[in-house]
Amino acid sequence: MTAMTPDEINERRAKARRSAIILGLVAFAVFVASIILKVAQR
Amino acid sequence: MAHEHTADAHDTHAAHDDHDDHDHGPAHGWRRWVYATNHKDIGTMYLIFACVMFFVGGFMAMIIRAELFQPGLQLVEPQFFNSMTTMHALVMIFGAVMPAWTGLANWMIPMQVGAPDMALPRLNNFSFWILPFAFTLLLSTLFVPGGSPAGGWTLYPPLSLQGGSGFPMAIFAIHLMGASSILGSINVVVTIMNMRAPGVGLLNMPLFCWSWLITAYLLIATMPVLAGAVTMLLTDHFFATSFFSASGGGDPVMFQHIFWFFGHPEVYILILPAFGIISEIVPTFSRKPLFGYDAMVYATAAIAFLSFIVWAHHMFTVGMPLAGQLFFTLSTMLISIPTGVKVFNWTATMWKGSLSFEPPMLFALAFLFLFTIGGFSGLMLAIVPADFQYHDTYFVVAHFHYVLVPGAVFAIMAGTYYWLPKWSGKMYDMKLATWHFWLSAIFVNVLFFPQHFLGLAGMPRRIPDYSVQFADWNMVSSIGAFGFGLSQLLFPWIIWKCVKSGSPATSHVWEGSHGLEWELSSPPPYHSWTEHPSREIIARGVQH
Repeated sequence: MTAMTPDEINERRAKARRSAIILGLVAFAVFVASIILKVAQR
Repeated sequence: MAHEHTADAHDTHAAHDDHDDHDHGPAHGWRRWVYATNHKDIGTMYLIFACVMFFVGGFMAMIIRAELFQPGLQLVEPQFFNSMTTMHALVMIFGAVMPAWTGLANWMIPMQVGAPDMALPRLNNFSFWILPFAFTLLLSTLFVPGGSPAGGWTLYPPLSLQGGSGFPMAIFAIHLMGASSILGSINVVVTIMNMRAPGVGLLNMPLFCWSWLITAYLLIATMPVLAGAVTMLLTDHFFATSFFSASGGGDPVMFQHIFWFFGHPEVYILILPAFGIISEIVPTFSRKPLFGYDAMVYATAAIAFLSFIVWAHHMFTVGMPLAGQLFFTLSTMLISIPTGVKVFNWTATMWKGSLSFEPPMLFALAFLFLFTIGGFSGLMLAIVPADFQYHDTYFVVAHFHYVLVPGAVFAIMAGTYYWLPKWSGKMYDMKLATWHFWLSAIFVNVLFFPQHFLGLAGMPRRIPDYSVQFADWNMVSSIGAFGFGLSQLLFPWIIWKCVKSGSPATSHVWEGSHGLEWELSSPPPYHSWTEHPSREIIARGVQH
């Protein structure tokens, strides 16, 4: 078994943070879209 | 005994002892929990929170069933009765089942993918600590003028807009729960996508991880839609908008469309992780690899996709064009195909297996039979002319409780009994857990099966009083409810007893267990995998 270096973990977490921000923005876009959909329906 | 909780044959945790010095261990006292960033500590808090909410929601169910024990108004005011049905649903869905899944995900996903922890531990802390505030807010609506929301968990306007001071509190609580779920889901996705050890590929990771990955995407796609819907309710109530108010040119039916566009995927959010757990337990106690791993993954993805195009089957009686009725009937029935693939694969896994019936397997088998009954009544409800008869009756109540109680709740219990020795390093009282199973399995049927008859005979849901022809089956159902409620008290007692005085468990715990979590010691080290598991260890854990 090979030990995980702190650098390796940090690198993976940095990637994870970037993906998390994108997913958060997607969630917010869906929230806004649901309201726009209702406004457009009027 | 088929399990081997005293044997040490597969114990490989000695291999991890040499890195214990990297393990700084937990903080002491309240700081360990309030500042928690460890996936196991946060998982434990989620599970305890879910258990508390299970009993709070269960107590509300007892009030409902006590009132319905016989016809006439006995114990509570009709308004309070309606609050109880509404709050029972919100507490059980958002407070018990969803946090229980997130707790299990927190505990198991890092261990199963070979990671030291979740990818974003501080976000993880935040996701959990939102919940106690959300539910304090929600439950405190019981004590404000006008009482708590009483228009059903679906919050349909215009009825929900007529609520008292509890209305904005409940909506803010729902916003908080949604934020917690979205953040928790983002953490699950990025953990699985970024933290897998080398050699743990997407198509050889455990099905619990797969089902949670797909559930997390469902949550990210649908919880914001619920947030949008309730925000519009809020502005309709306080800021004179008319999103859903017909008098101002709005459309109340549009709320139902938006709500169920969230609501139906939500049903699968509650059940897909259960499929993952059953797919872990059945192979273990059949001592065979899972039949059709790839098909299980694709079936889960297919169910998730279909869950987005079936929402209006909740609204057939609202009125819609014939083409709409046909589309939503057929798309709903299509779901039975991937679900059938799953039921077939679990059965085929057991075929010619060397079966043993420890408590996790008993709960998994009950899931298999009873969830399928819930699935079949769902198919009946998908047929438009039949749905016109069943809609808003106890048949619907029986249907979704079969899916959620012997479905989702039994799977949570199966998962807890499966992994509890791994978490605690101790073995629980198998005899008592078997009693817990049989009492639950018998009473859950006494509780919910008669509700099919009541619904077919025309008894409407969400009413505190009913005609005398429904009296007998209501009494039977209430007796089942009291029995089920009391037998659940065994569950925390068994866990408490296990943690306090259980006999030591080995790393593999069960004879047929396989997967990376079983390669760690019981209990596992504070940071799960600080070293990448070797190819041999990964190969040993792969199920197919």
